[in-house]
Amino acid sequence: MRTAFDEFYDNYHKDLYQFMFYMVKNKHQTEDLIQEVYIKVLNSYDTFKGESSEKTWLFSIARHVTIDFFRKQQRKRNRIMDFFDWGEKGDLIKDQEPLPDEVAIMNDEMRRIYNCLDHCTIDQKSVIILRFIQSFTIQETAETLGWSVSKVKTTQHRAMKALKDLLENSDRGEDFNVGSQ
Amino acid sequence: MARNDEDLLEKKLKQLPQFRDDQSKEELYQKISRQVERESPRNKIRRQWLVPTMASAFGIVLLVLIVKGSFIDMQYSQEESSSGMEESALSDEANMKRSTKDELITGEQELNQSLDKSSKEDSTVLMKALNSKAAYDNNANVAFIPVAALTNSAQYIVPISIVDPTSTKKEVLGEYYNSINAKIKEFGNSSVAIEEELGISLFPFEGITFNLNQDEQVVQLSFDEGYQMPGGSSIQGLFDPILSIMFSPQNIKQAILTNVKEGQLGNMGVIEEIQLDPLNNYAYKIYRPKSNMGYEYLVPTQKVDTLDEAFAQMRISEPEFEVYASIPEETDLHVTTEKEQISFSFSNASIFGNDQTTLDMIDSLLLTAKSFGYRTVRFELPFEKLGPYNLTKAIEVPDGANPFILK
Repeated sequence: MRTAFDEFYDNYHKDLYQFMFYMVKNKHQTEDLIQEVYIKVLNSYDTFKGESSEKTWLFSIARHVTIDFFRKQQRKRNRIMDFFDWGEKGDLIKDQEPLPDEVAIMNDEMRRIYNCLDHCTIDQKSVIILRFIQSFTIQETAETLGWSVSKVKTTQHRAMKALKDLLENSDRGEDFNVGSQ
Repeated sequence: MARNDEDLLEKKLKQLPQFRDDQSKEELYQKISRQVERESPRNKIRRQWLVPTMASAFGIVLLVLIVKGSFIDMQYSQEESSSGMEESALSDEANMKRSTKDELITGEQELNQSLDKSSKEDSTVLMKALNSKAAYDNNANVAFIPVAALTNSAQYIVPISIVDPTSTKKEVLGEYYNSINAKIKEFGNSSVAIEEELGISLFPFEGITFNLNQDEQVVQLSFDEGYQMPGGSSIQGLFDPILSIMFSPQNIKQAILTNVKEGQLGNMGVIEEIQLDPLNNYAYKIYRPKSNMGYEYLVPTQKVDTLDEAFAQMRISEPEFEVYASIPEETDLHVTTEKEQISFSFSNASIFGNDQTTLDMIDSLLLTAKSFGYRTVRFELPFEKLGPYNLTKAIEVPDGANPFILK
């Protein structure tokens, strides 16, 4: 187990942390989820068929762990809303994370880009992070997400359009209500 | 969006800061080792199948009362085929009409919770017939059209296979795709809201005209001027997979969108084409809406990487979304694969009865196996027949789920 862990950690940990952090935007949650990713990877390493690269396999597991985390959060939110009967106002309740220092020192536009990412869909956000923040190729992104290359291109195009619209709306001080997950 | 704008935004995204993990490699490894050790099988206490006899007896009595009042007559054709299927989708006419009373669901839950091995033997006598939620397109003279709706929470897609024995697919394909919601509504009572009666919500198809070109493997979607996709990414995010569910079985590879105007599709923006990939690697679970009419569906839930993950997901209920485990928690499942065939055996097979719970598990495993690319499935269970299936033979994976059969 140690050898496999060393191999994955040395080759991909920096990128993995970066991806998970941008997805969940919380240091402690990132650490917990990364732990879960490594456990899944190490538990199923023997059955890894090598049909994709180790890197895309690792990141596709990371993405699913993240989606699962979002689902659990959503369930928790629904339960809280049911309990307090907040009705429609419940949609307005969002997890507010303080800006990390690295972002807080950046200019207003960069801070808005960082925030607006959370208002894209999970698919759109995944593509933006992988393609532009992680510099994955289209092919690597496709393998990671289990999509066709053309689907990555389409989603990327939609994602950039959605992000631009969100930035324009935030510039005008409008509420984001474009569907966060 | 203009190319320059996209380039500029791309450049800014690349300037976003890098974040680093503060914990050391050793620290992380120690945490992982401890966790792996805690989760190792020898540290797990296997849950025993211990049900008090009185509870079992109570379950049987309750079942007799419920079954008597709930099921309508159902008939299976006994025409045996080589595929392990003993009936066509058409012959199982009662699939969507099997119960009209809410006690059915309660009854099944009680059954799941309280029957032990001995009582299950009795239950095979009590249950008049079981309802498969898998659908087979095995009759060239019958139209079989995959469409889709949503769970009432709009969390998951409900695939529906409309079966129309009065037409062939070629005759009615266009007509059906351009009146999906109207066709689904035909299965309900017009005086009752579809969400309450069938327990499903209709996808906003009205205002979209579908035009299939099977030769070029393309479906064209034309949007009416006033069309508006509801807000929120959950519905919008399900649009691509819904198109895949409906059109991939027709061998359609691409959807071309025309007349889309700014804002009509919400956060999806103005898009011109969508690649339709088959719905691969999904875990199917049971959607059991709280509606009073007793309808249940198999729905694709999480997309996963491996079969093991799929089986783990299938054991997890999500009551907040009215979605329930399709594999009972106690199931000790063994899987072997050979080329396009997957085989399931169970070291504790004696816990299964010849009942709806087991049939739901079989149906969900068939659909999940299909989404992983398998063509045939074998089951080792302590009985030869279950619902429409002949378990002594390999069973072909279904063509769809949740048959709605037009009379």
